[in-house]
Amino acid sequence: MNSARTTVITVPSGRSPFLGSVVRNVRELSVLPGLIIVAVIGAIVSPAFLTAPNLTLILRQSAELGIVVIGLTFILLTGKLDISLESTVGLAPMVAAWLLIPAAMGGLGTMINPFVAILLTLVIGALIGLFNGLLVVKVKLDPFIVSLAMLILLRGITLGVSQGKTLAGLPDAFRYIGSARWFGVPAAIWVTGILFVIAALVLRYAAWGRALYAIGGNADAARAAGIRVDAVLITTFIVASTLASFAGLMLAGRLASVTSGMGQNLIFSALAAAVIGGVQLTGGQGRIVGALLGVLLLGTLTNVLTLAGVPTFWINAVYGGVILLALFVGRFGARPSRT
Amino acid sequence: MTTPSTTVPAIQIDRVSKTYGATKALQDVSVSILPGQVHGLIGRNGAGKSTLLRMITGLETPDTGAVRFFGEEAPPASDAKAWQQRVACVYQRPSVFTNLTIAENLFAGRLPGNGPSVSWRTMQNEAERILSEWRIDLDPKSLLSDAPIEERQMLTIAKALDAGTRIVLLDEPTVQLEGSAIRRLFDKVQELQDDGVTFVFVSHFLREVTAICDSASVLRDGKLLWSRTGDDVKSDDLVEALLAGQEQRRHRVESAAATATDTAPALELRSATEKGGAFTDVSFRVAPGELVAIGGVGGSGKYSVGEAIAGLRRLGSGSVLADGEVIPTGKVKASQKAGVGFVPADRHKDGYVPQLSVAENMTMGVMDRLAPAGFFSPRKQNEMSRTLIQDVALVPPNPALAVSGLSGGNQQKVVLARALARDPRVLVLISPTAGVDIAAKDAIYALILRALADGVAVVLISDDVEELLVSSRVLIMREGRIAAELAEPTEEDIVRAIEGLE
Repeated sequence: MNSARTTVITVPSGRSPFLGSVVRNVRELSVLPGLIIVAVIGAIVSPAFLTAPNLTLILRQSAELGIVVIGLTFILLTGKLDISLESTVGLAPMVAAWLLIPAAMGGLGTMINPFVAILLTLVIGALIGLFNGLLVVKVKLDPFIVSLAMLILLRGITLGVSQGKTLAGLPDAFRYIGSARWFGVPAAIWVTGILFVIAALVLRYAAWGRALYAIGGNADAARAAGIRVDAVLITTFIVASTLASFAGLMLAGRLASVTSGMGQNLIFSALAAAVIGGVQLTGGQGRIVGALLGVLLLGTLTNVLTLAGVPTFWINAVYGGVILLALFVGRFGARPSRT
Repeated sequence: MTTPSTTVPAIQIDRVSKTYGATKALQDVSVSILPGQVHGLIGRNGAGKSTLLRMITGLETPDTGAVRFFGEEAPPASDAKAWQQRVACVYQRPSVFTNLTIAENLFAGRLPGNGPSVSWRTMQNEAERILSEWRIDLDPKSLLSDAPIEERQMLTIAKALDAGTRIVLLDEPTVQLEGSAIRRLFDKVQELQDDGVTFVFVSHFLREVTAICDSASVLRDGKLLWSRTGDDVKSDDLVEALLAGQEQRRHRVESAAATATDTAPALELRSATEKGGAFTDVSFRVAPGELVAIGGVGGSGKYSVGEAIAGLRRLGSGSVLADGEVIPTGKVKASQKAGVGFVPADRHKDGYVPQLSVAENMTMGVMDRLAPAGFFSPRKQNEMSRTLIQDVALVPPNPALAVSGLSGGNQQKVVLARALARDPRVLVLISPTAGVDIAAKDAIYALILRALADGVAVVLISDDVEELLVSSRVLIMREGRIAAELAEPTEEDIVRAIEGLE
């Protein structure tokens, strides 16, 4: 006997598909009040906040985080986790740069073609994802522990390869995506925006995207329904890590160099952004719109804290406090969306 | 009430009403249950049984009316401890801590010891005492996850009674149990009844109600239809009260395959043996339009055979053929493409994704057709699911509703629709009507009948003898092998074959 049945009947949810979608959107938009409050505070504390260059700066500085969040959201939807994404952000461009630049500047001196280096960055990302995916899916290790080990291991390799140095002198082609401007706006913002649109479409209209929800909701049922659960999970890890390596490439372009600490602590912001945006760590629930709003909230917050002149040593404390507050608002302001 | 008595009732439900929004879940219901009675509570899904149970367990308070235990007013809803002392409830999935030991489960919430420190020795001794009293042959130090479901239910009752509870509610306790376990549970209930323990027994199976209940109430649409004591319970009134306004249930399905046995089989198993060994050397053929039922005790391997046909288990040797073609084993997609539709044993575990919509759940197995290039149109998905919703008569017929919001019977219809979505040539159904009400049961049997008429080969695997009787050809499995094949069996034939009494 399902005791919830009697109450369920009285809920007229999903009567009209249109109304239903509005309601779902509104739930996702529960981040919006927080974002607006932070923006209003920003506008009050600094006249520089509401200027085109500053807003562009916020978007540009959120781009790498945004791309990592897309991949992380895919993984979280399946009910898995990969915290090593932040180390992939550092390692993939580091190895490529190391092969790319002259020995005199800290490279290996092979001086491969920059386009090959770009491709190599993405391939390294994909391979790391494949490895993580195999460990989680085939060896059946716990994703948190696996990716914790990988986070440390990959960061260690990055340090070892670079000997702790910063690799500068990157060729233009390698830096292009992180430094070019299209129509007066950084290319990275365009690319990130397009990736978010693609991610939203994939999650709504692609069989693979819907499979993520099915697996996160009930993996056994998904398997019995004919979804190739293992294959979908492994590709999810590959996609997420490839996106992370691309984020690393963009970051390298922005900084005009590759440092051994690139991407460090990024995963905490990424997790916070996804969860603030309504993506459930237990899997099966959440949408990319929410994750995007989470990214924008964190990006705006960082910017406002800097503009407000919050002492450097206190920035993290305030940042953490606001994340907690956002989670509170999300928890009590609206129930998490279902699909 | 028809029970004039001088004794104070153990449970007295006095003119209770409850309304949720526009739904009148209970209207002016009065039931008295005397100490030592086993009271059957019967009604279709939505009749108000759950609501009534929730009143008796303190999870809901009546809008009007009162609940009394042994003449005393029920404690306030906030006092969970007081409720637990009066009433214990055993669900079909006992709510217990599988990660803790049996002893810890028996004493959860009342660990023995001084202040904050737990006396493991006392707990151990006490647990051993309870287990031996109940003749449960388990080590109190072993983890509960190692104990079978029947023992977990027994432990739940044992715990409640040990804590002093004298009223036990059994909410469809037999759904997950097999024949011998059900008999053991019933024996224990009768034994405790003699000690004056009062039971309320909720079940979809009338046979079970007539077997152990000495009083019963029938609910329909939130109203009490009747409440009786004594021999009246055994009468056909029960069936009539429940079915009033309902078409009589059809039993034996006359399969269209009587003439079709000489045609090529739609499904054939050749010495199928599982890697790891849940079943060995299983061979049988099913013709198009033929119904074959498979029975056996739990652990006989009958479910595993079904799961192997569906591609969820890999064969070590032997083969599964659909329309004469060998299906690669262990691959669900391959089985689906070969024309196999599958309804798993446990719909909660393997059947559906609760938070996804009806449309998504129904089309989950045909995404390769809906989205040949990877992307699909939700409009097409909705159209397809609307057809399926009509086919299985889903209530409410809304493709956008999350499956978690449907009743058990309708959730099962969604799972069945998923199996039918690919127009299967072979249907493998494991306990397709377990835990669903009679109306849904009828709907599901009607669907099976229609599939048979369309020439689909159906394999019906079940624990429920009543369900096996639907088929005129019944295979019985014991210890992983097919032990008997029965034609036109009676209930007794089947039970004897299952228990191995040749």
